[in-house]
Amino acid sequence: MKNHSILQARNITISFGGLRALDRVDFDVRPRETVGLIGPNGSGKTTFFNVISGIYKPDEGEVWFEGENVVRRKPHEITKRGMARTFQNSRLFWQLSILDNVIIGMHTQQKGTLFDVIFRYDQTKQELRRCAEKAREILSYFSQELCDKCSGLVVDLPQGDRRRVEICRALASNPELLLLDEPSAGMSPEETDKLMEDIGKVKEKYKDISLIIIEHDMVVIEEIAQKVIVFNYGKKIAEGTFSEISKNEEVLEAYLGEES
Amino acid sequence: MKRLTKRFSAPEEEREHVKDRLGSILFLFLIETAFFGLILLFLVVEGIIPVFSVILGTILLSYLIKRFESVNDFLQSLFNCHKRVAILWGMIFLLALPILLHKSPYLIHILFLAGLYAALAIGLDFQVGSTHLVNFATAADYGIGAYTAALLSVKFGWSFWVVLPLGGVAAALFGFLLGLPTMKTKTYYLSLVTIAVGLVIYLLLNNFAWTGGPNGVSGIPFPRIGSFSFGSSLLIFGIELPFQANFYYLILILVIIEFVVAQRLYHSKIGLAWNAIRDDEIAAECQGIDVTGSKIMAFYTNAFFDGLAGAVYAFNVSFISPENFTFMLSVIVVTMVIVGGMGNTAGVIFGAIIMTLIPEKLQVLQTYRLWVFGLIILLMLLVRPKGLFPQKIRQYT
Amino acid sequence: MALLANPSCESEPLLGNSAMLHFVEVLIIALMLSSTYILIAVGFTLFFGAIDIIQFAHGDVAMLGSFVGMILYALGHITGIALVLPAWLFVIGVMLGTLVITGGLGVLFERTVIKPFRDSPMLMILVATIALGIIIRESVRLFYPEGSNPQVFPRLFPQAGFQLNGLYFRVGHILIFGISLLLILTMMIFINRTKTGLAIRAISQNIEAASLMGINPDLAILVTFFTGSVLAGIAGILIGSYFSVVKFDIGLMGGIKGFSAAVVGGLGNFNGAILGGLTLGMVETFASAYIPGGAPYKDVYAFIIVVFFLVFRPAGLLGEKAYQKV
Repeated sequence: MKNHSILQARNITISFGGLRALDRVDFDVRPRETVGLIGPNGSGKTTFFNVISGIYKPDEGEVWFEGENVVRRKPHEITKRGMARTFQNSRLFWQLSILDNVIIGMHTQQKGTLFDVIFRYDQTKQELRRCAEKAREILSYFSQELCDKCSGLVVDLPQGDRRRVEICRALASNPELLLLDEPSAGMSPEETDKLMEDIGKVKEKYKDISLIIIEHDMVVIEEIAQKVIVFNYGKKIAEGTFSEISKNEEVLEAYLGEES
Repeated sequence: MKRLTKRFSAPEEEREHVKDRLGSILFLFLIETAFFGLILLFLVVEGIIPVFSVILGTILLSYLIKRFESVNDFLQSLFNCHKRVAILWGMIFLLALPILLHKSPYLIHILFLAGLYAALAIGLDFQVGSTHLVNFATAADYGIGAYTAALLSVKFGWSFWVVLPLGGVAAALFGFLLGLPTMKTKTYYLSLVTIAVGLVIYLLLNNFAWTGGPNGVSGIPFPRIGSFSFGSSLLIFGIELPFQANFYYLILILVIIEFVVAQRLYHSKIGLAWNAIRDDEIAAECQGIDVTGSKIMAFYTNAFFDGLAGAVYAFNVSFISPENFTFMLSVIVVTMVIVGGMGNTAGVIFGAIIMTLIPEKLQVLQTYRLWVFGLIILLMLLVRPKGLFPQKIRQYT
Repeated sequence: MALLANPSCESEPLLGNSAMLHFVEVLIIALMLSSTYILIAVGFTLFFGAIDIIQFAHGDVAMLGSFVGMILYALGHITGIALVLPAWLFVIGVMLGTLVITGGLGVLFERTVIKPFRDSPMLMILVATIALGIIIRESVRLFYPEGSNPQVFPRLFPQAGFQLNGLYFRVGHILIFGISLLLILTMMIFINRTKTGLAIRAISQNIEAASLMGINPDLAILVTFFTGSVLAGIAGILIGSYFSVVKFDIGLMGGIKGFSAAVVGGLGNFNGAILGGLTLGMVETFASAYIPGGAPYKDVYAFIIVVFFLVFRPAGLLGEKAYQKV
């Protein structure tokens, strides 16, 4: 199905054991769109990310990304096609430096086979140097300080910086679609403000990028999302602008519980 | 030493700078030579007490150096400033070692053995060190390389130089086949599979008639270059070196090549991918890394190196049997990687060398060797799990 | 006739309906072998279920069981206790003593070698327990008198035999088999139908949730390791009684086979360990009996099965597909 959407998920259904985590979910993302994905804990948001990024295969349903059916593809193949993501609990490469983490993000763009590495090492070295430069560039765009200490280990960084590195790593692959999974989790209000600035910077620098952001912080969602989709118990229960869904009864019920 | 790295505007300063440079290079020579002297001392002394004293003295010395940061930093910067010279001097020493030891064929032989284990450890480091893949089948790769080379030579008369790479290729093929179905399995399952496969290879080698069964393969000839046989002594600068020196130089070249290859792999997208898989497999997959493919690559590159070492080993001992390729050998190589430093090529070479030479020097400990290995593994894991020389952070200038 | 006395050799047909008799003989050996595998496999599955670790030295704990049994037996004779007590009481005493000591050793190993690595990556635990196995084996080889040689295991069970339908049975073997069967049945009842068994199953599913239900996790781990090691100790005695000979290195292969059995059945699933042990024992015995020239390769058959499972069905026969938490 080729139309204006960069991502199209249809009828996504997946169960774990007896639990239905996603139930016939449809989802569209258009180019240059920022979509907020919200819902109570356990409503299937991260599971949805895992399905479209290829980590899980759904029991039913299809996922089209850039016009291609990717539902049976492995995660690294999907990343190669232009989807990048962050994780709820910052899956960074803890024993590597900040710079290395971002350079690894560029893996899909690095050419070079085993043969090249062993026998044409000069080329490899040059390419790696270029990647390092580009990585520094990306880091400094968000925080010069971070760029300056990029030889340090990521494990020594505070939460806000960790998230920043994760975003840089995701951006390093030049994605068309970026998935952010609860980026403000564990952050103080000041760090959350900085995060919003960062997301704004992302949209500024990468003008064609689409974003899906899972968030619990409604301030963030209201600020940056053009469209908001709400999950509950694995089902999509509402879709619209922030003001529309914030008046939606079902949404309110999901968050606040039944009106007595 | 900081003065060496500053830029100079005035010519007098330039001259001073050159004098300083000469001074520091000389100093480097002295320190390195002292270090080489220590190595020679360790090799040459006999008897438990002298050997123990040298070992303890060295440990004490390293501890003191580590302890006093300024001394440590001084030595580091000295080395970094004159890396090329330091390495050159080291190379000269390594080349000269057999000449210095030409009266003791036994010592040259154990250096050869240390080199063999270093070759095995460098390969295993790709899997255990860089990727944290458990592999207890080193003996299988090693054995396949040895048997391939030996059988082709004994049954078909092929030259060593032809069967050497073939041994590597055969082992790499085995590594690839082993890696293929098992790459989806979890760590603990992989450990079981590699141990089981190692045992199966041993059983097969022991029972197949065409591999000689428990009697193995004998009569493997010495390698030849033209009319020169590796079994004859080597004449250098008028000094006659025992034939073991031939094999020493052979393994030295092999280890140097492997070191360069390992370093190149480390500083490349492949090495980065391996480390990424080690730290977080799922995140690595989501960065576009083909995790399965990378793991299999670690498997067959390791196997290739093991196979080459196996071929060299076969042609050194002239007779191989399944008893040379047991589970315990795999365990020993794993120990060397853990002790030396996971993900650090120089570290694992060091680990391999000390864990070969020390038991050889302390012959009385031979029966206790495995027991001590077990204790050392536990100790290292509890106290210093990253090894004596942990992996260094990559620098991009 | 020699079959039951020396189970590892290929069988020869006996008098009477030879094919049928042969089959029954092989079946009996297979069952006895399976029972030892089951006893060791249960340990692996319990440990994995409780704290997600593989105790690679578990087979060596079984070996220690047989050696401890020998030591106690010898001590009993040296101190004269053996002469004072009736034979059956002495044997029971030796067995109980072995179980308690082996169980204690298992707990000791857990506290010293496994506990420090609870939060470390799996690689560490694997290598640490492999190292532990080496230390145990070498300690026995170095410090037990004539440790590197095979040791004759004392005859704990009556050696009398009788004939039935052309088959020769030893009373002792019947007893061993009976004990194993009884043990396994008891375990099944215990695990599946009692409250404590339920607690152990709860722990193997999710130790944190179980602790929230009032089960003390640390105590639970201790009990799990004690139980698993006791079973290994029994396996050690049974192996010794059955094969009459033990050696310091039987734990290596035994442990690998036991681990394999647990994996085939489904790691973490108690009933799976039983099924896996049966599968492995059957395959190994029948393959070596019926495939011509196959006896030296018996271990190979077993491992082929294991690799097959690991590649195509890692969850094992009864295990559940585990979903990775992302």
